[in-house]
Amino acid sequence: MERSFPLFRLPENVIVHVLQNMDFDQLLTISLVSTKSKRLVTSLGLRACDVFIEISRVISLNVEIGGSRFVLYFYNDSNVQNDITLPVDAFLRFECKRIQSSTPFNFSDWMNHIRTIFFCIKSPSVNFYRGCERFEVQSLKDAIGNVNYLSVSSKATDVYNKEVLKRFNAPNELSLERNPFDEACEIQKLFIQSFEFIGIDNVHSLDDMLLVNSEKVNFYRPTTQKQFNRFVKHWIRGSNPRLQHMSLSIDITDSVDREVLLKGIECVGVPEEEQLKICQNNDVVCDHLVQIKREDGTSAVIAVNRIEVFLNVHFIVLY
Amino acid sequence: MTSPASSSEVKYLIESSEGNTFDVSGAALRQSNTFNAMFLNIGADGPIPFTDYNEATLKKVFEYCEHSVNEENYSGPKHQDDLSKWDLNFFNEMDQKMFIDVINASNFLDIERLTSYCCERIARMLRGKNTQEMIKVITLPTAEELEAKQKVEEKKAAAAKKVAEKAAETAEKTETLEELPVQQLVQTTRNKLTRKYLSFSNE
Repeated sequence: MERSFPLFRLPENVIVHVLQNMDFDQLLTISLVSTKSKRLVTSLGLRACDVFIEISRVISLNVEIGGSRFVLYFYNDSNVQNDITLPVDAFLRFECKRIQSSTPFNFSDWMNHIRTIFFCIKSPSVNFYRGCERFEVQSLKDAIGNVNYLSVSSKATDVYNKEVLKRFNAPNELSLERNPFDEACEIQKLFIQSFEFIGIDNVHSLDDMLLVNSEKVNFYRPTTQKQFNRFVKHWIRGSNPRLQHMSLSIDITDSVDREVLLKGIECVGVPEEEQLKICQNNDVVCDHLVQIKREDGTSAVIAVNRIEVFLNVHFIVLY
Repeated sequence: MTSPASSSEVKYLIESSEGNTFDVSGAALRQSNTFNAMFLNIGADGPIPFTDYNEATLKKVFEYCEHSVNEENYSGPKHQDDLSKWDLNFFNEMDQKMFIDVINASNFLDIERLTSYCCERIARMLRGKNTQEMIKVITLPTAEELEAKQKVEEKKAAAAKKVAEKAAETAEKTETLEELPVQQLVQTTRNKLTRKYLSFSNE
């Protein structure tokens, strides 16, 4: 058959049938050919269930559609300027194949194009990594818009991280690999925000724990049995009313007595079958689980799993 | 001969755009959902007119249907790699024009299996192409080409307009001169020269 083929002279339902036989890379490529091709690809009704963006020296855009994923890279060419408002080509991850739009696209245009053809309704997750300082934060925010999950790198400068937290100011979920603030009150401003999830890799005080207003919290740095014990006592009296799940670890290198953890707290054992169910539902592993009750009647369980000198603790509120 | 199909032995007459008729078995025709919807239950008096398509195309389409009569029920598109030798030959021996005609006819007749294979074949042809290559393959002019083409056309139109005006002017002059008798022609020329001389003197 000849090298050229008048695809767009075929009936639209046939073109759609042809498009249905294409993989996502091909669909993206053909959607860039013309407004008609973009409209036809959009008409396939493909829906991205997840979009996550990784920003390091390179920006990668991961799009998940119905169990499959395709990844586009931007700025992996060191000759390309750092200004993300300028036109840039995209590269496919595995083939390193360059994808160009028929009219020059900057990163924002690429985002909009992909949002349109793959119906990305959910806000993306954004992870910052080493080298991200190459890109100006406000331009990134303008191109990406609101984010669902934000992870701030421990390898970026504090100044840059503060700018990221300021511009991407309303994620549903936040993960901080390092506290960029000098003053304790600054990080506490984050604790009192009502995120769905907050994770922080920083030494935290009892006050920090009590200020948490998110549904789920993960403290990556170990705490002490005593501090956790005191937190639980506060919770019983009514603190942290929005909390659903807290994960933390406790260093027991210097503490032989594991009983300090639950000292003075009224708790009951949970039948094995129910323990199994709770662990499965909350995706946790534990070798010991007890149930406690708050003064208002709300129940919670404390699931503990020992790994060497650490206790992995999950505090799960049962609603 | 046409009659309601209940057996695969029944033959139907098909009429092409040239007005030619030829036989197709009921079993082959029943792969066409269009046929099933229109004629299967009520039958057809006389040839079935598929007159939007030429004989060669319809014969090719029904050749495929006749061949796949004994294949298992269609259950979604088969990968090109899984196509039989016969299928591959069937597609390979078509030139592009025939291939396009077959897709269009198959689409109209709603023959799922053939339409699917054709569409998968086109998708396969476009695999691995970047945007620029795709633009070339699917014969879409680029924005620059469109602009260049438009400029050329504008230039051509302007040139043609000039030529036409000049031709009209020349024709007018010739006509006027041809129509005048010799003496009058001499007088007209003299007048023109006098006017020219006067205009020079006035300047």
